Amino acid sequence: MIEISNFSKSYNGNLVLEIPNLELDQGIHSLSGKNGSGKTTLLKCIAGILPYEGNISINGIRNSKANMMKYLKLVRYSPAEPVFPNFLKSQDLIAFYSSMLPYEQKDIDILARSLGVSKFMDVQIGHYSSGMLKKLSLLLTFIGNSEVIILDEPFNALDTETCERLNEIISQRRAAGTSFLTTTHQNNLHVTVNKGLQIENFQLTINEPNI
Amino acid sequence: MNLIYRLSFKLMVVQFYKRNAGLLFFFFIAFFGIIPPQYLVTTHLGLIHAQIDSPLLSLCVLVFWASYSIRCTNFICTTNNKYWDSTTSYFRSFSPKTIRINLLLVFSVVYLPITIYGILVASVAFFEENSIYGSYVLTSLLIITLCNTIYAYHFSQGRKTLVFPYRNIYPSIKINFHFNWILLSYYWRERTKVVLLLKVISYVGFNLFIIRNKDFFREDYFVLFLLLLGSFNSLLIFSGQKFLEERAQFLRNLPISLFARGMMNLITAIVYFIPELLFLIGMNHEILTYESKFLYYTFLISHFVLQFALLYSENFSYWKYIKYLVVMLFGFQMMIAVVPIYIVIVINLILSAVIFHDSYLKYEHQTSLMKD
Repeated sequence: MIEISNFSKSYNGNLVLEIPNLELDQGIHSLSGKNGSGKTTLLKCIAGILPYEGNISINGIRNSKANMMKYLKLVRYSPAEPVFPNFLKSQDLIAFYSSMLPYEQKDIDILARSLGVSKFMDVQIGHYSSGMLKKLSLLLTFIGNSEVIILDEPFNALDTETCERLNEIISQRRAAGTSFLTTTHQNNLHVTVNKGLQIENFQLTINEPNI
Repeated sequence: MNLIYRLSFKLMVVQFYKRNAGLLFFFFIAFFGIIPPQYLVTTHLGLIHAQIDSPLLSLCVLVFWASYSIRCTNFICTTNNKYWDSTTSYFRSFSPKTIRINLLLVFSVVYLPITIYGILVASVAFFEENSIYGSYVLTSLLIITLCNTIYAYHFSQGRKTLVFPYRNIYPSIKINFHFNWILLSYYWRERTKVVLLLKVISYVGFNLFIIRNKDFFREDYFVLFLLLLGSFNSLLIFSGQKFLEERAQFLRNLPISLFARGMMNLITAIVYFIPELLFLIGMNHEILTYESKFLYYTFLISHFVLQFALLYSENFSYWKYIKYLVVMLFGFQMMIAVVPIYIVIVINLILSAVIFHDSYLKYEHQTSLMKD
């Protein structure tokens, strides 16, 4: 599924994270570590947002300039603190995503109702609260039939009801064959985790499943 | 003055004029700057007469007044919304009458330029014994003012869908969200006054070079002005690139090819400089040939595209970017002195493509350095 080799990431010459070799099979994997340990950095590197040294591939497709389109079709990323252009509305972004990542309109409607996005679809993003932004970001992440979904602190700013619904969506998508890589400082993830990854002292270690 | 009025004045009126300074300056230049002083009164009287005599023009003016009122009300409502938890809850502790009077005053002051012009039109109509038209103008202004105040009042009370169906439709040009338009939408929606100011600079500069000093026109000076114009626009490009890498960072996680990402930049430049092309075509046909007008338009585009691509080659801070622009300006000036402009355009475009292709995926935005 996800293969990482000879990976290293530095900021201004300072090493942040080094992973000689890592293979993650299909399933749900959680990533933990202290603040500033490099969790978000790793997730962004896998999502193709940040540059890095080394190789990352999903289903054998390496993230490189030549495979950029193929690779980015396989992975979706939802940031911990999502931001979007203030002048757009949810419906604009949903239409844009669905034009790019084929997905049934009825499934998008179900997702929007489930996450509570349909209530503010026609309101400009500039007026959103952090919870609304998070819901929109999660909805956009679930559009398309990607192989890997990366959720960075997915339960941040969400109400209890939405947290439960998010757990249901994750379970459904997991059953459909999607893999998840997620970080969370809260204990809201109520699904079986296949691998627990821990980042400490610039290194990544694999722990036994803890949830 | 009562505290509520002072607070409203600072939060809404002052901020409104600060934010719309570019737009107002644009209208000021359009109405007063380009008309010779000796013809100022007669030109404006002519405009007012045309408005009184032509129902179509009169309707257009009314639509403009209504649109501007929406902008004013939207600003008032958005400011209310923005300070909802702090200031507006304070507003809501006042009696409905005080809030209504306060909103009426705020709207009247932000709408003042239109009101003054409307009263001027009505005065001319009354002076010429066309009291029907004069009354029509005054009644329209009164209705616009009252309706907007009532809407703002209902909005401040949390009843956001009442009275007017047209909340949030301004700017009335709805650009459907498409990847190719995202940067243009950003410029139009969030950098309006800067864009309008830059267009005014273009217009005034072209006017000075091609119309006012046509007898002393020199192409090398004109190209130097284009370079300066390109440098001014670079600051807008800088904010555009920051926008793409911060607010629109989600685009990096979407399957959009490098070619499409580069083309978006080119399309933005082509559309962005259409007003300059229209200025050049519309101004004078004697000094510059159509060929050279298109050449200068293409030069501006290539400069824009190159600046955008270069921003991906390094993490520029604002001041570093300014220094770099000054160096670039001198570099280009020397280059243009020895190389024909069409070769400079070709070099710009090739360099842009190479730099963008090479550096886009290696680029890392500065704010991400602080992220966990």
